[in-house]
Amino acid sequence: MPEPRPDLTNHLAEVWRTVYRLLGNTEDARECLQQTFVDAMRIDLDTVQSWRAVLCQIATRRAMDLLRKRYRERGSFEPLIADPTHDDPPNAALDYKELCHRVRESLAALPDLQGEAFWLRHIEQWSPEEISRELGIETGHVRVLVHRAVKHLQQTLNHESRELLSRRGGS
Amino acid sequence: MNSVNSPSDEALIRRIQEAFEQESVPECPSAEELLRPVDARSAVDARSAVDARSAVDAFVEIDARR
Repeated sequence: MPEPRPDLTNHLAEVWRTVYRLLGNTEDARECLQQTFVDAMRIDLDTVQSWRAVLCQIATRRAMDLLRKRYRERGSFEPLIADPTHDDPPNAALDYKELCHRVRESLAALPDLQGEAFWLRHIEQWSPEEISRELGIETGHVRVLVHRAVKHLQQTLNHESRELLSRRGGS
Repeated sequence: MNSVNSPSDEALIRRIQEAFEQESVPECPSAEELLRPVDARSAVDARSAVDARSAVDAFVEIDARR
């Protein structure tokens, strides 16, 4: 029986961070992490350049699937409390916890690959070339997917934030 | 399609990045803890846990050979 490699722990911690931040709760994150390793075993070894990248990409995809399922079943969020600063852009009315919730919800509503591409590009901070390699799509396509996701987030988050400000203004 | 972000897009991206950076992430469970069967809550859960355990064992073995 071979000894476990120490870098497996490093992979676990990184993947854990990805799935936890995407999902925001421990139970879902554990389920997603388990599934990520099951999926990784089905990959053709010859295609793997970086296990870290492969695991992170699978984890992101799995977590997106779970997010979509969660929001389909649950419906919309209960509004949270935020502290608006009127000089800031509209999305600044959302505090960071609420913003994370809203981003998860918005990402879950995106078509396949858009949310995944956005997450890998702007949260995991991968280059478009890395995303292209791991998702198996052209770099230009990656840029378009990410751009569309940003526009979607801009629209939905600003709409949510304006509604929040409006409710407070009217109370 | 023009995929260049506007200044407001860039501001939003920074804000989202900051928000996720501020969210605390619990410590990663150990491999043993993570892959331990979850009290066999159901036959499906138990099967998944066994699958995951086998998968990680196999993963470690293959990774060690590379």
